[in-house]
Amino acid sequence: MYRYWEEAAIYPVDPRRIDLAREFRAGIRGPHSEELRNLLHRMRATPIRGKYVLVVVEPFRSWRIGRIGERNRPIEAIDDRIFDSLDAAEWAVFELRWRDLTGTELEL
Amino acid sequence: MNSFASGIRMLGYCDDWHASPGSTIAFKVSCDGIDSYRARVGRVICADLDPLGPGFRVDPVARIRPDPISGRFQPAFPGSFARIDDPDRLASQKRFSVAALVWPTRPGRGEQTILSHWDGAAERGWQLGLDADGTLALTIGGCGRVSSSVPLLYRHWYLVMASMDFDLGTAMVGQIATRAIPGIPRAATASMELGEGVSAPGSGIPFLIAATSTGTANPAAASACRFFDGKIERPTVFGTVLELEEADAFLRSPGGSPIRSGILASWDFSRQMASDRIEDVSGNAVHGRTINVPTRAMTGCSWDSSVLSWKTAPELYAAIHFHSDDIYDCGWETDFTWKVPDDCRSGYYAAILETDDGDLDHIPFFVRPPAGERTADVAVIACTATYLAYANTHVKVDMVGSEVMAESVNQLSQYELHLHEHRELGHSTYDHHLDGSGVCYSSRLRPMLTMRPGPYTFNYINDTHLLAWLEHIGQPYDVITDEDIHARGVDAISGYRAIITLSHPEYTSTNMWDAFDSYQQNGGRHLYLGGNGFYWRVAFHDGFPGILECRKGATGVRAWEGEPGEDHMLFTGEPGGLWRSSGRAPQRLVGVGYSSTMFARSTYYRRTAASHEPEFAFIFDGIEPEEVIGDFGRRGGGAAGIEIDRWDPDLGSPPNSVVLATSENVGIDGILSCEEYPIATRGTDGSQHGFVRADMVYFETPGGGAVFSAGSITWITSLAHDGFDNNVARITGNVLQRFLRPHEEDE
Repeated sequence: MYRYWEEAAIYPVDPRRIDLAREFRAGIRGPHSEELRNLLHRMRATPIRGKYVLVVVEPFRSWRIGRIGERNRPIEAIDDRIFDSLDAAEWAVFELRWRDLTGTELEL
Repeated sequence: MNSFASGIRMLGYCDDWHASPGSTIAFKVSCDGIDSYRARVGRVICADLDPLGPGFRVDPVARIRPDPISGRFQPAFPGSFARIDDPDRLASQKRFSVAALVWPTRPGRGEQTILSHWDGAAERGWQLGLDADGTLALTIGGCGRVSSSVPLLYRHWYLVMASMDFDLGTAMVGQIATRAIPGIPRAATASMELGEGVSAPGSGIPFLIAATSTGTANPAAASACRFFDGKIERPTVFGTVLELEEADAFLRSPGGSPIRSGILASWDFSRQMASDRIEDVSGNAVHGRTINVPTRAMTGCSWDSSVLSWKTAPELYAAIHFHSDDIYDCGWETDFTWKVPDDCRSGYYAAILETDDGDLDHIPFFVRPPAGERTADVAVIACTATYLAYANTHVKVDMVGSEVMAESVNQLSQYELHLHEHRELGHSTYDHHLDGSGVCYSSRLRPMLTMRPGPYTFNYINDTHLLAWLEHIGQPYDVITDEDIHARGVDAISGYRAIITLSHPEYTSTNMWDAFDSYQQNGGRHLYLGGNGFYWRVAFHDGFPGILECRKGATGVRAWEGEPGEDHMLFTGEPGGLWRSSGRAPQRLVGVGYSSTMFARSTYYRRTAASHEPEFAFIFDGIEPEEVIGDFGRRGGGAAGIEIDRWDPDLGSPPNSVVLATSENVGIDGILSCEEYPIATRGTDGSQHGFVRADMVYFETPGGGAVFSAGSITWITSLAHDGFDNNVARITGNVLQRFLRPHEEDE
C-alpha cells in the first residue's frame, strides 16, 4: 500500500507576502518565481477532502468552484459564481486558499 | 450549500467493443428517469469537443431502429465474494466450528461478513464477521449476536473462529492475533446461549465467503451484502466444536494443508488461482466460485519474505483480497443490438443514444477489418489497454497528487461528477479501493466514462486527432486494437505497410510487445506518435474476457504501490511493473522511453545536426533547417508535452537509431520520473537535468522496416493546428508516405 502524500506539503504561507499573490494574479500560468512555486505547491497539495475543484458548467467555456467531499457524495458548490475564464477561476481558488491557510482575506 | 448534480441519466456499454463486418454487437443501457431514447451508430472522426480543436465529427452510419427504445434502470452491484456451489453439503450440521485467517482493511467501518451460511429471506442461519466497531461478531438468526469485544486492527493477521452446538444450545466466537502487541489483548472469546427453537441452517441456504446472502438469487452479484474488505485465507468448516487454540494450531500449521478427520470443507485459495474457482481440499468437494474478481495471488499469513512471486511458492499466497467495491461485469440485460454491415469501414465507432430532453450517451467500440483481411495499407492501433487502464479514473477526486501534477485546479466534467458519486461503476488502475489498496483490475463490461466526448480528453479523445488528420489527408486505414494484437500476435498486423501507435500506448502485454517487435524485425514500419509508450507490463486472461491486469511495483509513475511480494500478475505469473524492470525498456522497441512529465505546458522541438544527413531528408521535406517544430498545439501549446520520452542507448535504443530533433525550453515544467534517478538530489527538473526532454528518433529495422518515434503525448494533438497545415503534420505525413512505399521501391 502506498498512501499518497496527504498533508505532506509543509511550506509555510506567510500572509505578509502579498507580493507573491500579485505575481500569481499577473501571470496565472507562469513562469513563476521559486517562492511562488513553493506557495502554489503548498496550496495544490491540500488534502483531498475539502479540496477545491472547478466544475465544468459548459465544456471549454465556463466553470464554478466546488469542494470534494466523501466518496459517493456529490461535490459541494461553494457559491454561485460562474467563471468564463479558467484563469479567473484559478485566481478565485487562490484567494480561497490564501484565506484558508492564513486565516486572513487576501487584499491587494 | 447546494451541490452539483451530474445530470447523467443514461449510460451504456457493449458486450465486446471488438466488432467486425458481419458481427453483432449487443448494447446494455441503464436509464434513470428516461422512458425512451433513440440510438444510432456513428463513425468517430474526432471526438474532441474543444472549440479550438480539429472539430467534433462523428459521421452518421446507421439508425439502430426506426422507433425509440424503451429505457429502463439497470443497477450495478459491486462487491467481491465467493459462493459455495452446493451449500447443502454443509447443511443441517448440529455441532461444528468455522475458522479463517483474516487481514481486515476496513475494520470499524460497518458490518462485514467473513463467512456466512445465511437465509437472507428468512434471516436464519449464522454469520461470522466484523461488527460495526471492528470486533469479531457471530450472529445467529432468531437468537442474536455475540461479539469478541476486542476490535481487530487494520492490516494485522488474525485467526478468527466460531463454534456452534445446536444440541447443547451454545455458541462461541473467538480471535487470536498472530503477533502480540503489549496493551492489546491478543486473544478474545465470547459465548452465547442459543434460545429455544434455534436450529442449524438447513438445505437450500447460500454459504458465502466475504459476504452475506441478501435472499435474492439473480443476478448473482445482487445476491450478497455486508462485504468484507481485506484478505481471507484458508476458511475451514470443522465437524466438531473446537477450542480457539485448536483452530489456531490447525490453520497456522505450515507446509500446506494437513487434513485431519472431521473437516467438512477447507478452501485452499492457492489452488486454481488464475480462475474464479475456489477449491475445497477436505476431500468432500465442497467447491465454490468467486464473483466480481477479488484479487488473488496475495501474500498470506505465513508469507515470510522468502519469495516475491506466487509462482515460486503458491502455498504462501493462499489469501484472497476481497473488496466491497470490486466490480467485473455489470451484467446488464441487452437493450439493443447492431449487426455490423458487411461493407462497414474499419474505424473508431460509437453508438449514440439521445433523448428529446437532451440526454446523450456515446458508447465506444471499434470495427476491425473482416477477419484475415486488410482493407488499407495502414493500421491504426487503438490502444484499448490504455483505455482500460484509465477507465473511470477517480484520481482528480481521490488523489492529492493529481492537482499537483496538473499544476492547475482540477476540472470536473459531468462524467467525473457522476463517477465520484457512483462508485458502483468501478475504478481504474490509477485508483485506490475504498480500503486504500490499489486497483489492479479494470474491466470494460461497464460504462467507461473516460471515453466520452467532454473535457476529459486524455487518451481516447486525444487519439482521435490522429483519425481527423488521416481523414483530412484522405489516407485510408484499418483499426486494430491492443487486444487483437495480444490475442493474434503479429498476425494481427503483419500485412500492413505501416502501423501507427497513438498518443499514449502505455500498457503492453508480453504478447503485444513480442508482436510489435516481430513486426518491426520483419520489415514492418511503425510510427509511434505518442509518449510514455510501452511502459507497464500488463496481462489479459481468456478466462476473464475484458479485464486488464496491472500490478504496480515500487517504481515508475505508479498511482499506488503494490504490497511487497504481490508484484507478479495472476493472469500470467509474469512480473508486473515497468517493462524497464523486466529488461525491455521502451527504448529497445521504439528507440525512446519515458523520462518526464510536463503537464503545466508543452514545448517544441528543434532539429539536431544529425537530422541534416541526406538519408533523413525525406522526413524534413518542406521544413527549414532552423525551423522550430511544434511550437503550437491544443494541449499545452506545444508538440512536446504532458509525458515525454528520451533516447538512451544504455536502456536499449538501437545502435543505428538517430535523434532527429529534441525538445527545447522544457525548463522547470518538465519533471523527471522517479525511475530516472537512483539518488534523490536537487536538480531534477528540466532547467537542470538533461534527461528531461523529448527526443524524436528514427531507425531502420531488418527487411526494410523502420521506426519513427515522436516521443511526446502532445504530438498528435498538434496535428490539427492551422487547418492541419503545420510542420508536425508535414513531418508525420512525410514519414507516413515513405513508410507506405512498397519495399522494392526503396531498394
